[in-house]
Amino acid sequence: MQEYEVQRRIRNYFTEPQDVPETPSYTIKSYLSLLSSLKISADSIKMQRRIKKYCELQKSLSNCHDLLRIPELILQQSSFNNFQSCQILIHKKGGQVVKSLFFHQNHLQDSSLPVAIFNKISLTIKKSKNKRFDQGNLDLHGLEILGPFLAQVLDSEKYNSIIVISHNGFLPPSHEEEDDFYHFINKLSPFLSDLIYQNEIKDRNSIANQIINNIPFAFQVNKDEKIIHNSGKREPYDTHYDLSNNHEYRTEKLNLKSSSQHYHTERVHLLGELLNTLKHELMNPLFGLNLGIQMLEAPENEEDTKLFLDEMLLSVSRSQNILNNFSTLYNDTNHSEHINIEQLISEVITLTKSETKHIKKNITISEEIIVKINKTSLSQIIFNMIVNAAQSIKHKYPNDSYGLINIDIYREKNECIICISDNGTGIKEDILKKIFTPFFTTKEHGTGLGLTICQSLINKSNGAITIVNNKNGGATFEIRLKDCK
Amino acid sequence: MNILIIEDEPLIRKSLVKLLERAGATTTAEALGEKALDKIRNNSYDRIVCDLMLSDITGFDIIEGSKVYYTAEKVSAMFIIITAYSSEQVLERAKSYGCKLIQKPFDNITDVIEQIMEPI
Repeated sequence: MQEYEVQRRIRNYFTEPQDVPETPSYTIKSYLSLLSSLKISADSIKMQRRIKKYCELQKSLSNCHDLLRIPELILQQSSFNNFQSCQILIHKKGGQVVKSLFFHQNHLQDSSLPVAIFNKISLTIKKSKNKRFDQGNLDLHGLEILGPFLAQVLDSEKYNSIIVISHNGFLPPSHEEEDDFYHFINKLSPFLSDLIYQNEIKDRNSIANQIINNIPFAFQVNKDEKIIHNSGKREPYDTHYDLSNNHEYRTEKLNLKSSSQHYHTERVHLLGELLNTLKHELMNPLFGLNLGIQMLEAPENEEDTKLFLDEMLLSVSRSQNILNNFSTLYNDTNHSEHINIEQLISEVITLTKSETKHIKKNITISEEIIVKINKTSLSQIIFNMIVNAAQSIKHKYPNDSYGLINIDIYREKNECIICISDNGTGIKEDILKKIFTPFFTTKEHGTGLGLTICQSLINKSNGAITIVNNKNGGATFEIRLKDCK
Repeated sequence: MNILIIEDEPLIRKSLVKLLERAGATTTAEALGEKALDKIRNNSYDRIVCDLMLSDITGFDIIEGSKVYYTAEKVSAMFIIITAYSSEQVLERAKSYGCKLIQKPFDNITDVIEQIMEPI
């Protein structure tokens, strides 16, 4: 009788409740009586053994719904009494990280490995012709077992797994053990995928729970009959929660403020690098032009030639200044220096030229004011304010040139106050409250970080920023800076 | 005075040649680092004005290469480095060779020509 037919009948035997004997324990006697009822010849000892082991496996698996217990379960099978350790490697297709379960001396070690290591082991196992492996010779990284071992690779739709068992001794496994192993793995295979999947769900749920519990505000969600709530304990400003340790699940940085800082720093760094490259590439040709023009200057030149050469020199000079100013805007250094406010604001205004075309800009200042502050920070703040003002104006007057930005700078004791006022749309009351919140934006393609960053830069420089709506429309941003002379 | 100019930006190179010749020097100009090293090997120069960022190798490579033919002292007296770079590492390294370093773009071209023409 074909083996599969036997198995089918056994399976039926187990799934049809009315055929289950009264005593729930499956003894060897009941197996043999089952066999006799199936009219299998007693000579087929091998067949009997296999069926017995199959029943044993079925029974173990029916009680086990936890992937983490599988290595232990394998070692508990009677065929594998002499085996000391069992390791299972699981690779979810497409993932970068491989799960390793190593059971040895009553202890389960759950860890992770990179895919490359898994692939190497898998390839070694698959390529082997005699399937006799010895860790002493192979020394495969990632395998915790010692000495000669049995191994099998299982490829399923979602996962690739490797199952390894070893005596952890010197002698290779017997032929019978080998046989039993491969048959066993065959039988285990369909269950394994399900177990892996269930374990994955469990992991995912535990991480989701961690995330939910760490969100720094309280909430309650009713779904079906389940209530999920969170105590909303607030964590200090700068912490973030790293839930990734050895999984490929995305980490969620939950503290919005610190993540917006991080985003900004990365962006500034990237832009700084790009600008540096640009600056160096353009610097040489511009300097070349400068020298070349100077070479053309000669007392015998006509008036026209002189005029043009002068203009060309100015043009080159302006280009060099723009490059230098942009570099300041995206410079990464942290140090403060004495800065002439009027000069800095003028420089920044040239950088906003494309945004502020057709908008009149007035700078009013009564004396020379110097502030000790980080040049990059202040440049970024002013740049942001002017661009915001310009965008608000364009919103109100898309086609006309009534736009006006007034910049008033004055000193109060040792504070410098910069007021940037526009005649744009102004800011609605309910938005005013949220305007500094990270990721809050009213613009279609806005990042919502501009003002957040400004506020944090100003705070860092021990300053303050306030916004008021103007009586005649538009808004005024007032920046107060200390360390002013 | 025999001066070798190693600079790959054409306008800068040609301008320096013209200005130094007007000041009375004999000049040779080269845009490629490897070729410049050949010239250094086969000729003797009073001064070498060398850009750091060339298209094939760096000015530092050329200085190292010259050490084969000249003493370290001669090298530090002979070379004048011109560069747009102002980073700490570059400045430190230039200092370690003991050579004069002039930042590009030049604030005052006349000053720079004077510095290059200074007797050794």
